[in-house]
Amino acid sequence: MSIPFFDCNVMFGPRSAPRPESALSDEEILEELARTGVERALFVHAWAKEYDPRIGNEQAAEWAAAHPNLTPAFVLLPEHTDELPAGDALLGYLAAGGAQAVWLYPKPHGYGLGEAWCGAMFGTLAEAGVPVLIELDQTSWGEIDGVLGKHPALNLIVCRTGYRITRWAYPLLARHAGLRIETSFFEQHLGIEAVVEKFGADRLVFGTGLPAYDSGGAITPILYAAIDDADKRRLATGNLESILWKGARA
Amino acid sequence: MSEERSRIWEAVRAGEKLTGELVIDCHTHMGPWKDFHIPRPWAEGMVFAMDTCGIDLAASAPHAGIGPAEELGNEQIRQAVEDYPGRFLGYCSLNPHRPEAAIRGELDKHVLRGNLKAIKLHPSIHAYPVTGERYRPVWEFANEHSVPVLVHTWEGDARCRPSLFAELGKQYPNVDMLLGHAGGTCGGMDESIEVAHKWERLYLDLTGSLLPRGMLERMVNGVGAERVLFGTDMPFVDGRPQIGYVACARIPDDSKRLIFGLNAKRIFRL
Repeated sequence: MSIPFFDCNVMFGPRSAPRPESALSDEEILEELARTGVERALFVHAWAKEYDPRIGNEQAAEWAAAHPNLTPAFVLLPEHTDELPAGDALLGYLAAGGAQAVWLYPKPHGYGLGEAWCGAMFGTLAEAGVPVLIELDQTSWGEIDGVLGKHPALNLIVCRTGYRITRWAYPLLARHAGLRIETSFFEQHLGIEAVVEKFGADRLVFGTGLPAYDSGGAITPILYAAIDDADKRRLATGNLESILWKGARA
Repeated sequence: MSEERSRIWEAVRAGEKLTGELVIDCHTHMGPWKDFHIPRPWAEGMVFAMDTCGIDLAASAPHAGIGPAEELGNEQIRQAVEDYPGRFLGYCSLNPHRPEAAIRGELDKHVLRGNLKAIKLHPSIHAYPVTGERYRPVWEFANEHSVPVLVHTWEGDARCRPSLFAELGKQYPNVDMLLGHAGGTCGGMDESIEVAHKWERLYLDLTGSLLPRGMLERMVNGVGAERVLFGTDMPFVDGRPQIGYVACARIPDDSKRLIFGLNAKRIFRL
């Protein structure tokens, strides 16, 4: 069984305060992806989170242009302060950089996900089909319910959820077809099997958190899950491929 | 760090179970828990999950026992050991808030005369320091009978931080002490490495839902692979990520074999 993996949760670039064990250079991250058999990765540049989204996104676009197995995800801000474009100009900005998804970091970047802040941006992304990734500690299940209630066409991947989430997440997976869970840290005992049985195999998306976390621990729960091989391939690669924005390629 | 080719990782990456390798999970639980849902949490579901990846044996302390119902938990694991021969090794869980006679009664019933082989303490949930007087009968028993003891440890928890175990170990020299979660955090793992240098019968248990990159190698380089144990917390969390963490670690395959099972086999005298 050879299952290809497409990692939705990788960060390149220098971080402000990495532990020495995870302070990998960009080349070392590439080597680690190759060593663990992760063929492709959707990534952000650390500067886009920890310094300035526009400058970090430029770095991501440059790095991806030189590495065909890497796909950049741009970090966005709401448009109100004119730091990043809105509407069609936002889509043009993403397309120019080759970005096929976006990440949001509302806490360190100082805004909320409600309509007052992100309503127009979510409207643009939902209409165009640009998926959004966000870590659970940046938001709440109540806030996620509100966003997807207002923007039902939005594809939202919630990352690094942990294993204690299903009492919160199951009702939202049932209500919102665009809600997906990234698999790193979704370490619920037999949780992959339970979600696939209850909601189908298209609601889980493989991710690792490299370089802060190793790939191996994210790969094995999918390889060993008691689901059929076709579903493993969906989790490992297909689900992410299917929702990435194709406008960047147009 | 080892750059050599890892046949163990190659097999795991190919989706093969760890057949042919001894895999002993030194830290599991059993049954439901209060603050989140666990699918198939009983012995049946655990054995099912173990068989998906090749875990041979799970050393288990049911959630009931590390919470408010140690007699119930001890009965659950006693039954599981009986129902699934060779798949479970039982911890006798003890609550320091019970009368000393009750604690001694559980040890007598389940360890001396029953089928449980080791002891589990959770000073954090039971809100009592591992060095406290109420645990003394447990440590005396373990020392007298050379029974391994798994203790939940966590950085910054005054009741069970790793640094407490150097003196405790010297006080009870016949006891192999398993530092559950190896202190939990990166800082806790560093503290566990440090304390392991002060007493030779301390072991670092890898159990934890968070194992940041490089910490496994840091522990192996810090104390030697002979003192690092594979553990998962199953079914509190899925055990299968831990297989990947160890299998893909940048250490020699012989070290992985010690961690996966050979160390636990020695400690539990299997």
